[in-house]
Amino acid sequence: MSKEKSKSFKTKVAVLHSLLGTHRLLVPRTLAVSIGVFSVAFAGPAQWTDHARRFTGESQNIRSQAISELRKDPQLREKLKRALGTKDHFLALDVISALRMREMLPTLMQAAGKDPSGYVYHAINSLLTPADHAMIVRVYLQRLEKGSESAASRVALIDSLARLRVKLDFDFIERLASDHDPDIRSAAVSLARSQVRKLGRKQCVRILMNAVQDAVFQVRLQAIYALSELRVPDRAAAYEACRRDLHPEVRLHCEILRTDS
Amino acid sequence: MKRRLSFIAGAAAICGAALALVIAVFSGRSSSFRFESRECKRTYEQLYQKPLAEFLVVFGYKDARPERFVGDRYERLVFIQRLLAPCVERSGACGFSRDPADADAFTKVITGPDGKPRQVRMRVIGASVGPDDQENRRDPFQKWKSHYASENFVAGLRSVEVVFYNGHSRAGGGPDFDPPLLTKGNEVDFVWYRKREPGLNRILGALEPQVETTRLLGLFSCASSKLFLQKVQERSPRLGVITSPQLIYFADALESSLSALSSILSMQCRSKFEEGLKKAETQPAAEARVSGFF
Repeated sequence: MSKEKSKSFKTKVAVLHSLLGTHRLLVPRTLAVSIGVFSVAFAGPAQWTDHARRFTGESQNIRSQAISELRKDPQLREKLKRALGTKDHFLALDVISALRMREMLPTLMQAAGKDPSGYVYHAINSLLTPADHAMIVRVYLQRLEKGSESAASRVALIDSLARLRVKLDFDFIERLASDHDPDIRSAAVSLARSQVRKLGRKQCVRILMNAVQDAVFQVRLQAIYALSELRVPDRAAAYEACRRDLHPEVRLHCEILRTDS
Repeated sequence: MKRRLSFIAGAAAICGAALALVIAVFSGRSSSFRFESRECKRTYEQLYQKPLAEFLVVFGYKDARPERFVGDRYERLVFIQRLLAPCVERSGACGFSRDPADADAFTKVITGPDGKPRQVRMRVIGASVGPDDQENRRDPFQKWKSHYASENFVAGLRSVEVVFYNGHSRAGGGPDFDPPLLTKGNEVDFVWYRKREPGLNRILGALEPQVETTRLLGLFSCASSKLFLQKVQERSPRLGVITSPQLIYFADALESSLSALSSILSMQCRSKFEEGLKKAETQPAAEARVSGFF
């Protein structure tokens, strides 16, 4: 196939995709085309949501095309604001992230408190620059301290702090690690692991050691794996605790803690 | 006198009939559920034949290329929040209690098709350890997490009543619980997945032709009707399967799986079951379909 023909084919495929309204394409484009080919006849004029559905799993070309179509819409910002909290909530967040609409940050900061899924925080994170880090750490810490957000939002906040690689107060992490919700405790173990591994904060090993005695076996196992990566004297004590664990799945993995392994 | 007697007899007959009707209605309400059809009733009698019904929901590894973001951990949390929420103005996928020793296990007591209580035990398992694909690939705990999700999914196909997968189809190579195999260009190696079909082969290997326990398999992943349905039904003709005919947006897949779960727990028959799936998705004609269950 000549270059022109190949380009023309690609353009046709791109046009077809733009008509199909395919989204989060998690299968190859050829399959997507064959699945959606019958939908072409029913496709109306593309809405912002149609373009938004092309962001994930698509080729860079299709994604760029969808982004440039969205940029042409003078009402886009208002449409996205209105979509937050509706059935198109997640698509709106995808658009805000893909178009890097930093002007939406104040709106997102407000919306995050009302979003039980925690996905607004992921959108906020995608817009941040190093200059925002100090402010965002302060806000995220406040929101976590307040404790009024959903578990999904709190996990999103804890994960964000872990990725920002900022030194956090030991007592604060310890409080998270003793939360009543096992998913929060699990996120706190990940946070403690990253504090030790990336920031060299040896005192956070204690949080991992305490997690070896957690009520749920998944968190105990997570702590055992985290400790297995560290050359610390506490590994021997963790090994002994692991061998006494009541859950067979945990006991199965004690050998990774052997100091001579 | 004769007229009087016949009046009394007539009144007594009417009262007796009314009383019988009241008893029948109330006894019916307290002892059994009303179904649209005999087939629907039989479906739920089979599903809830034991005092304990076990459900399993496993999220696949949901990377979001070209981004590094991995979303299944958060989707699982949203799913769990809905399970733990009190049942206000709705029923089904709500009002569960969490097992204090197992973060993935939830229980609820429902009324079975015979009016007697059934305990539902549901496990909700995720596949990723964190939100960053690159970090996950370096984390030794990721290997355990992927293995645990995969093993539970396969074991569930042999031992629990309802199994849902919510994740990537990998062009027919899914279900997949691991960070994906990548090409040199850092894209998912769809050729490899399509050729080997590792996830589908695991399903087919686990399914028994004569299904004894598993009644319903939900595959909430892109184009699962086209990629998996036929082979699964060939292998296990008595198994009910929920699949998606088109590419499915992650939020729609999540809502569909919650809707299907609610329908099963509140014993909805086909029309309401499918209506629920239709309402759950934002894209027209993308709704999941249920085959072979009713």
